[in-house]
Formats: sequence, structure tokens, C-alpha cells
Amino acid sequence: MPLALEEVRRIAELARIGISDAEARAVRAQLNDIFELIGQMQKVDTDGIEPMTHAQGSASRLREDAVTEGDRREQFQAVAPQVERGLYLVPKVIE
Amino acid sequence: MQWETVIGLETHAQLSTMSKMFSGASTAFGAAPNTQASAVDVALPGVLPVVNKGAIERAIRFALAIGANINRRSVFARKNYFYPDLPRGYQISQ
Amino acid sequence: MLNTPLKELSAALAQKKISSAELTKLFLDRISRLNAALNAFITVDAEKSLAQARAADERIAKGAAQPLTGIPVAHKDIFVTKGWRTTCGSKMLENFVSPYDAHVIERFNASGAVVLGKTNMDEFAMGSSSETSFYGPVKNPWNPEFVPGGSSGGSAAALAARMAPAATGTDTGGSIRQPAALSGLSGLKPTYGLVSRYGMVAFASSLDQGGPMAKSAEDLALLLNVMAGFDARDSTSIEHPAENYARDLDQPLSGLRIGVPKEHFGEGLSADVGKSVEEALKEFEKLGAKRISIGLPNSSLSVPAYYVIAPAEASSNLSRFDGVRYGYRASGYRDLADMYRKTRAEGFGAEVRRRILIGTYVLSHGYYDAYYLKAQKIRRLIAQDFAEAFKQCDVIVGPTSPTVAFRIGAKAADPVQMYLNDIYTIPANLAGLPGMSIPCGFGANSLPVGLHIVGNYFAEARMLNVAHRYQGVTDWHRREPAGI
Repeated sequence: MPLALEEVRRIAELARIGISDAEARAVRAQLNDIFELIGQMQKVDTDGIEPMTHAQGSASRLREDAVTEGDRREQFQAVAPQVERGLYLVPKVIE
Repeated sequence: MQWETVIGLETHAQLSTMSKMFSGASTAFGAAPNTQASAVDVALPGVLPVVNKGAIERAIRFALAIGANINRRSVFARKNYFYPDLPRGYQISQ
Repeated sequence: MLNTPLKELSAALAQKKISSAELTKLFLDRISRLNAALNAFITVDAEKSLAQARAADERIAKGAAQPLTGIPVAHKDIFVTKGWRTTCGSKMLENFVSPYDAHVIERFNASGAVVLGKTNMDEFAMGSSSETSFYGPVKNPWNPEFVPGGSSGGSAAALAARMAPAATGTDTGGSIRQPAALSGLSGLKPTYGLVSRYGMVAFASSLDQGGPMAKSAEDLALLLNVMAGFDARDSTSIEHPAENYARDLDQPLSGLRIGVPKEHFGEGLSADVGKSVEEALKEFEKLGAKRISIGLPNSSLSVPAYYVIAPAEASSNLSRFDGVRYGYRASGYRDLADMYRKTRAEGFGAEVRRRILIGTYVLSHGYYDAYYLKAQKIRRLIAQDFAEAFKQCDVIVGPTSPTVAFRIGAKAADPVQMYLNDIYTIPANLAGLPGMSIPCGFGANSLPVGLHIVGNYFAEARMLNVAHRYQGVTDWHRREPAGI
């Protein structure tokens, strides 16, 4: 089921990946090829089959409620693009 | 034209756990920004969340207190969106 | 020293025939001579490696050595290493120095092994050729015009060129096994949950597994002994009793039932690969094994299902790369949305962007059932096929890759062509089963052919035994590229 150009732009926006019109056209063709591959899934009837999320199918392990992590702000923010007084800086969010 | 006012209240109640839902960082009130943000909370590459047992226990207690139906099986899913205060780019929700 | 098995290197270190510092320097020298042409390593730090080597030597002198103490190990640049750069082959993490070590790295450090460097890979592990790296493609030491396979191609090339005696990789759809096959090496993807994913930058969380790569099954066993084990920080980590994966290596193979899936020998398999695999099966029969024809009827659906599940999970896992807390941030943005868009458009390469788009689409409203849910159901069918097969056989054997290595650039223009490289390896990831590849011959252009072995859950010791016995009667795994 081929993708419309508008859909490519919509997905790119959902994924916050900037994309030019030329790029959207080029990637659309590639995505359509991939969707054709994926479309082969429809060959088999899967009614009544339980989805498998991962191999062991076991329940999530739980962690005891205890404080095990300390203050590592300086270390973690050493790799940040922009910080000020312990805060991460980002462009203003206009609501 | 008649208008009927309908007001919904979405109420959040913080559970009384000592550590966070998915990490062992403290939930103590009043600390300086980002001093109680572990590697998992900051979503550094490679980190993984682990569910807080105390939170589950409290949720079950609350459910019992209000006579709610408790599901034996609960599934976590990811709600994906982008926001600067959402380090992973998704919220782990049920 | 360059071709010495790990067990013997360890003995040589214990007997003071060589020090870890000397051994490490030996490999560092080879890297400085050979890496420019092969591009196997992204980061090397001789000072850090030698400091670890000297600490290992002290430990050996005290008599506190473990089997891997003092052994240099090359790590795929997807395992975060404290104080070292971890790039995942991406511009997005070009200058990222992790403040913590991956669990696997912690285990190697505790064992006294030496970090030899960080190896090149397809960007964020997305690829089968190690061509999508921001740091340039990796060359196959057997013929540098050809790919080494991917995504763990840097580790494969490092081993094949004897720039490292041991390496780690990760495998989501075949990324340890396929480069092992294309580069003439042994590589193992463990049962899902055996090796902790904490600190292994996530690509597809329900499929990723870290594993060892080396020149022999015997070496793999020693590496797996260090890598495997429960980690409370990884919810998917299995609490499996500790094993010595080398314990059964020498067991005889008489009575071993080898399942040969007919679906893996049909159209698409290149004749040269088929021939080598057929000869390998004959060797197994000589060793006392019995061949049984089995069916994996839903095999052909594994690639389509994988290319829904993996991109879906990847699109979510890569959302954290947004320029806010670490990694690349674009310059010259108007506002927050613009910063996100530019950072991610510039920081990610084309293949990664493509997969994120596929993933975002299949998870978006209205499409989840038709794609992601459908793929998860197919996953169940594939796992069931294996469960049925393992009622009749002990291991499943076939080709690892449909062809030998291809030329750099040959498949780059056609993503779907590239994806079909993983047709034999993907089913094991979907089912969470352990899989390995060992060399079994040479094909077109005198390039290596890999034999694929899949075992039941937690059957690694048995698989290593099967591989080791084969390596006892053949010498494919001992061959090395000429002129290296």
C-alpha cells in the first residue's frame, strides 16, 4: 500500500526528523519498497494467535523500593550540550 | 442555546515510595534540580527501567481501598512523543 | 601470539612468557599498522589500554588471575565504556563519553581483561555490511573491496586481521553471526536474556543480544563465561544458574540429531555457500551425527516480521537522541521543534532515518494492529516452528548467509536487497534462541563461508561442543587472510 507524500511528511514530523521535499520524495520510494516486503506478512492467517512480545514471555522483574542512586548531576551534565546552574538548556518552548 | 457545563477533574496522587517508578533515585521533595536524576531518569544511552515493587503494592492497596477490580495481568506500553522534560522520548504507561 | 588460542595466551601470561603489557602492545602495534586500511576501530587509546594491562600484570603476579586476565578484547562501539568514547558508528554520539560502563564491560573489567579499543559498526547497529557507519565503511581483511558483514563488522575485521584476539558484538537480526560468516570467524548470539543489555545502546529491545566473537568455539566459550550472567538492572536478564560453557567442548557427537531446514536450502541460497554447508554436514555425519530433514514453514515470514518489529522498537529507542542532554545538537535553530528536526536530520544517517520512519509509521494510530501486532503473531508462529523442530533434533544447521561477502557499495542503493542478507539468521532473534556461526569453507572470490547452528534455549554449551568437534577435524577456522 503505497505511501502518499503527505504521509511521509507526517511521519517525519512525528519522528521529529527534518525532511525536505526532495528527500521526502526519495525516501518515499524506498519506504514503499520496504512496505512491499512487509506486506508479505499478510500471506498467513494469524487469527487466534497470541502475539509474542519477547522470548521468555515471563513477567517483568520488580525492584525493591529503596534509594540506590545518589547525586551524579555534575558527571551527567559534563556531556550535555548546554547547561546552566544544574539545568539543561533548550530553546524556549512556546505554548 | 442552552449550554451544559461539564467539568472533569484529572487527579494525580503521588505514591509514597522512597524511590522512583523506574529507577532507584530518591523522590524526596525539595532537592536541587537534577540531583535526584539517575542515569535511567536522564535516559543516557544504554540504560533500562526496572519497575518499583513498592509502587505496585501501593497501587493494589489503593485499588482494594476503593473496591476496584484488580487486573491480574498488567502490560506496560510506550507513549512516544517529544518534549524536553521527557528524556526517553516516551512515557512508560499502562 | 597472533593466532594463539585464548586458553594458551592465558597460560603464557601465567607462566610469564609474555606480559599483558607486551601482549597488548603487540596488538596495538598491529592496529596502528593495519587499521587505516581496514577501518575496524573507531577509538583506540593506547595509554588507557596499557594502564589496564599493567594492572592485569600485577594481578597475575599476585596469583589472582582469571582466565581472561590480561587478555586484550576489542568492543563493539555500542557498549558504553566509562571514560572512552562510545559512538555507535553515528555522528549523533561523535563526542559522547559515557559516565558509566555497560554491564558486559564491568564483567570484562572484573575478569581483568584489557579494553583494546572500540570497533566500527553499522550506525546504531542497523545494517548487514558495516557500510552505514558515519566513520566510513569497514573493509573485509580477506579482500578490502568487499564488506566484512554487519553490523559488528569492525569486530569481525579486527579479529580476521589479527588486530585483536577476542571481541564483542551485538546481534539483533544476525549482526554477530553474519559478519562472523563473511569474515571467516566464530561468533555466538546467546539465548535472549543471558547477557545483560544494560549499557548496550538499544536498537530493538526484544531482539538485541550481546555476544562473543573470536577465532574458535573454544575461545567463544571462555568469552561467554565472562559475558553471561544475571544483572538486576536489566528486567529481561534471566536468572539462569552459572555455567562453564567450556565444560562439554570435547563430548563426542555420536547420536547428535542435526535438523536441516529445507526452507534454508532453496531459492536464494548461492551455490558456493550451499556446497560448503553440504560438505560440513558430511563432516558431522562422519563424527557420528545424524541428519534429519525438518521444516520451518513460517521461515519466509521472518524477514517481513523483523522489518516491522525492529524498526518499530528502534524508532522508540532512538527518540532519546534529541540534542537535549547529550550527543549532537544542531546549530542555528529557530525554536525547540526546529532544534529537534535539525539535530535528528543531521545526526542520523540515511539508513537510521529510514528505519525510524518505518517504525514510526507502523506504530502510529490506525496501523498498529495491521503491522506491529501482526508481526508479533508471526513471531509466535516462528517460535512454535522451532519448538516443533526441537522435538526431532538437537541442533539446527544451515547456511548463515545466502552469499559470501559482497562488494562495498553493491547493495547500498537497495535497502530491501540488503535486508535479505539476514534471512537465515533473523528467525533465531525472533524466537530468542541461541545461534552461532563458524567457518566452513570458501566460496566466490575466495571469500569465507559460514555455517549456522541454532540450539534450543540455553543450549550454548551443546552448540559450542558441536562447533568445537567440527573445528577439531577441519581447519577453516585457522585460515587467515593472505598478506595481513
